[in-house]
Amino acid sequence: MSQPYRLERGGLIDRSQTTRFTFDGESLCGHPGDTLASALLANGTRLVGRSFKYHRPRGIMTSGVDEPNGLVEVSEGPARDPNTPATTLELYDGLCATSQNRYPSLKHDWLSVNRYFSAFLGAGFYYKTFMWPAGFWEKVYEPIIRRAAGLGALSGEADPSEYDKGFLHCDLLIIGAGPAGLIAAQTAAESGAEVILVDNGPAVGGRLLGETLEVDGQPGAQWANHVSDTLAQYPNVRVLTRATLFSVYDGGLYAALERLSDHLADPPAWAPRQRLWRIRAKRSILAAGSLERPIAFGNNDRPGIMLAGAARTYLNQFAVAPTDGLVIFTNNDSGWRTAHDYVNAGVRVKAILDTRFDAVAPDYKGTDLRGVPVVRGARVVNTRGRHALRRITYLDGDRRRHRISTDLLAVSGGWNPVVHLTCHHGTKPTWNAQSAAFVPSNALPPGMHVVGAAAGEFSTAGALVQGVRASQIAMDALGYSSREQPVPVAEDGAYRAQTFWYVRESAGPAFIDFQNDVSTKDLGIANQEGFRAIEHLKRYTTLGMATDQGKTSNVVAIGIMSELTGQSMADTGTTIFRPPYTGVPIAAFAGRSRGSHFRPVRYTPSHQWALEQGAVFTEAGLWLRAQWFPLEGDDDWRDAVNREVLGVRRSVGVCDVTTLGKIDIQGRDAAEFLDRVYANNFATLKLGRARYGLMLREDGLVMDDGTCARLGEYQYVMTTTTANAVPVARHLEFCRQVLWPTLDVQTISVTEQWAQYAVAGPHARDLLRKIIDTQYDISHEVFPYMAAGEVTLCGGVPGRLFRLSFSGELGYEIAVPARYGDALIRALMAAGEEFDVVPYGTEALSVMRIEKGHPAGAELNGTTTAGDLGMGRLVAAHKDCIGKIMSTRPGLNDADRPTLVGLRAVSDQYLTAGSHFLRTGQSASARNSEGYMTSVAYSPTLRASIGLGMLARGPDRMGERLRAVDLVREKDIEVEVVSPHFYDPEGGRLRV
Amino acid sequence: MSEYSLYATAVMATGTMQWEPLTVSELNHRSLWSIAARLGDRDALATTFQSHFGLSLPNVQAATLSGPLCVRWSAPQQWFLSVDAHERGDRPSIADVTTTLSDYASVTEQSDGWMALSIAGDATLATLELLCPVDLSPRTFPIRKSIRTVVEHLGVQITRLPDAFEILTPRSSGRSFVHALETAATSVCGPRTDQS
Repeated sequence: MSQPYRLERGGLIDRSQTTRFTFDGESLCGHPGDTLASALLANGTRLVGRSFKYHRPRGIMTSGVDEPNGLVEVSEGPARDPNTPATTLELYDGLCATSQNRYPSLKHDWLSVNRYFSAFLGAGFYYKTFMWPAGFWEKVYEPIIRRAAGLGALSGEADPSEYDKGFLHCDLLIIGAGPAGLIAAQTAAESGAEVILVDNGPAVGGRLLGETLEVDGQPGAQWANHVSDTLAQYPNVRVLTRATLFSVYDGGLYAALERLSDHLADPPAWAPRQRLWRIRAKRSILAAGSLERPIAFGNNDRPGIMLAGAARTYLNQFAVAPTDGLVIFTNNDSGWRTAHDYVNAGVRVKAILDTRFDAVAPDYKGTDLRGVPVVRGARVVNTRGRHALRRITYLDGDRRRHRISTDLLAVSGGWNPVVHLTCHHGTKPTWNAQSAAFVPSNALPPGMHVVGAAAGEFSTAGALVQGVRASQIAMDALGYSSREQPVPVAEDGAYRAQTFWYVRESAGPAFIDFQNDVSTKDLGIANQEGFRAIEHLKRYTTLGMATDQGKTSNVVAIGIMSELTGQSMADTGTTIFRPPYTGVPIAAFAGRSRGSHFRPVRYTPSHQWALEQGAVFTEAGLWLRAQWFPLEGDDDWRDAVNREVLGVRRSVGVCDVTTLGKIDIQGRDAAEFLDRVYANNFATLKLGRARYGLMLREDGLVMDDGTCARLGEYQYVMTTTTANAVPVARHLEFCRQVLWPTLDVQTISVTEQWAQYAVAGPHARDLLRKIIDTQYDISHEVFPYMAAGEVTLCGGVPGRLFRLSFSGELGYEIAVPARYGDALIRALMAAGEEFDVVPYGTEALSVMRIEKGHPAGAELNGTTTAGDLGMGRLVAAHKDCIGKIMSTRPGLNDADRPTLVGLRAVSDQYLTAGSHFLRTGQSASARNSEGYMTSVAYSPTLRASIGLGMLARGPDRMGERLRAVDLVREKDIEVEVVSPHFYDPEGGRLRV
Repeated sequence: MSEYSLYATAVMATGTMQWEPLTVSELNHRSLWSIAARLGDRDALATTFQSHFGLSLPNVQAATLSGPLCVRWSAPQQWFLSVDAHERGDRPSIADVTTTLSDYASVTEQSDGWMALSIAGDATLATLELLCPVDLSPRTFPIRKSIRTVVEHLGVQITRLPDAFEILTPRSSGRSFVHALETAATSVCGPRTDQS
């Protein structure tokens, strides 16, 4: 369990503790402070994954979010998390990681045979290869390709972790806690502004943690720690570590993913794994640093070939020198720093191969690189080593071929500023030839400043200066007084780089996108075949389309394409960087809103009671409503519904109708207002009376219906359908605020305020008399059909009583403040025992309204007019109302329009809603349809299957026989056209 | 005397939820009215309101407080008046409020339309920032500030009182709101301390 490549000293790890973990089942050790990648390298594990297409052996290449190779699956069972970069995965005791995209094992992967077919698997191969026979694509080729594609796999089970989300607000958001971000935060902190500092890593410091640079006369990591301690003293500063700022939206909105317990061995069950933050910031400073890019050369993907900056990070931050003697291949000064650090750590540097003929050794104080062979104008052409690098071949400046045995090749192709977040508003970065990098354009998201390496400023001193300056500018803009901030002394070396992208003389595939196995050859093919525009190149070769989104590959590919086409870098340009910067679990977006909490649920006041009765519930918008109340012995739901309907018709039933929209309308002009929003007349409605109301849309079609009762001189209460409660309330507010602001009218929803029950049936009044306080006379004479008024019940509880009926029976609706709703349903059922009262659900409610021919949601479907519903005469002639003019359009008054009729099945078959009406003998095509069925029911009262429907010239066709054809449910049923008023058409039962 | 009696039911079965640094209580003895000024009567309403309740009608996004009374701005020309009473009988009846203000305002009882929650304790802000899109920090949301916003798809009115936040949220979906609040509080404070 030794760690052969761990140095004896140094690093930001806690050597006093040992952390045990497994990789592909092998038990290994590391220390707190390690990532999985650093611990694997310390243990000498080079081979960590297989590439996507050719299944080539791959090792750790980077030390951060840009890692294309070292992707692992973490954990087992439902919590398994695929495609996790080993380079960002903090080590914890018991961590269980497995490699991906290999079978049966990482060392012996059957699909590695693909590399022998690489000549056929180049860019666009499947577009060309799987052309024939045409029918094979869907059934044969695509399933095979899909099975072979993809890297890690989800468990397929529900994720057991908790996720969470929230909102943060600040004056200044600083993205990245490297030197520039830290100094910017410190500057703003002192001014008193609200500051949020976000960083990916577990600790602040950024590149300072992986380098040996000094700041303010102390090691960089120590300086970062010191600033962090200072920031902790400021209540106006919030530092989020382990948080990735992944997106910039409009209006100063940013999104970050904070990893709260991914690094813990045994997080408590209640602790969220990750939290998604929406951050509103007035200004932002992007100090996201830069990412190193590779150079493409022959077989540049072997385990042991690593970016030079990553090699420094493993050495300096983790005290891991994964080599017995390394070679450096660079086109810029920063590669030399790797030599400097390794020499200082006592590790042999076998050679520095610099592509530049004029490379000048940077001046590192006190370090003697004289013993290190330097080759200028060099280029690596090939490498050897099956599962780990063993040897490299390079050409010197005179094109002479040399070989060096080595297990670590540290490569630097220059640095790419992390410009991604500057582009989320749709702009692209611009090419800066001097720093050989794409840098942020001037068209930044509003309020954003970019500093440090992210802006192409690669010296630490320069980054610090920019950080202070940007912070001061932000403070000034926000009205805070910014203080003079001394800029600490730091490294201020020049950054000299050459745009050297690939080695033409390469022997073997030279990879650009390591994760998707895109090589220089693929770019050549794309160029030959005309896919030269960078967006075309991306799609044709899949470059940059893997989980790393091309963080290491994009710019190299642009450079090569620009050389192939002869276009400049600026003209070649980048693809569009879109959010998120790194992968974000869907679960984090969902947060708490999962399972039954996906959206709010509205419970009726009688819900608990209905639950106790074993009610079956249905969703009505967000509401849960009792659909029917089954009893033991019922064969199916129809038994329950039939019993409820017959119970109401025979004696009395109670139904919770709280969900109907209720809107309180008051004001001196309330009557005038109602006259304008309803098609029928309301000015004449007397106090203590209710009326059916029909509302049209602006276009003359029916919007909604309901009742409206007058409770005071200037007070009305309107009811709406359940579905339209909110749209109607919104419509009324629009009318009063925008259309008629000179009317004195105020509206407010009281849907939630009142628990309301329909009490219907011949014994309804008898039942209510036991509940309503005796001083209220509810006899037919005093409280007739369509009466409305305030009452008290059960000894003084205030309530409202309406004599309304949807069922066609003697009916009331009784309302009490919602807090008494549960008590009232229980009181009604107890009081109704002597009348054999039945509770009824929405299904019985619907059966009875169909029997009565009352239109509901299925008929008020947005295509019907008042005339279509047989209520044309309700549209009052003598007054104006919304929709009146448009309702007179000829097309809406065509005699052939489908109009409401009743349908009765000739046989005992059940009808289906959605059936179309056809004449006998006509083929079942849309052309022959004469209308459609909107609602159906089995009527236990009539002992027949009945329905409502819209039929062309319906009222003239009573007695006609048609077919109701439903191709979806394969029904073709003979029906007779009848009046929609199946039951008690004169309404005698209502008025007793 | 009626044979049947009606009792009031709260939304939260337990009435309170407790974490070490956080207490959530449903305010069951709360009466609430919407008061909407009649057209052109805002000033007259304000005068009457002041003389009768001893409170001024607050401006946009504000509340005024006096003893058990609190009036919050809720919409243009509209306010929510609440009264907390230990006993139900103590509250001014709807008739009182209506009669007093009816010349100048449309008064609508809302006591049962909303679940009222009081949220207090050191973890209040840390919990609410997981739920509320509005910045509730003291700097931007001082005592007596009151706003209408949306939490977990639900309309809410949030008011900062001297020692607690008060949230009004629609009653029928109250259980969903409580779930969101409980989940958020637990993710900040750990498990509830009033449950074994």
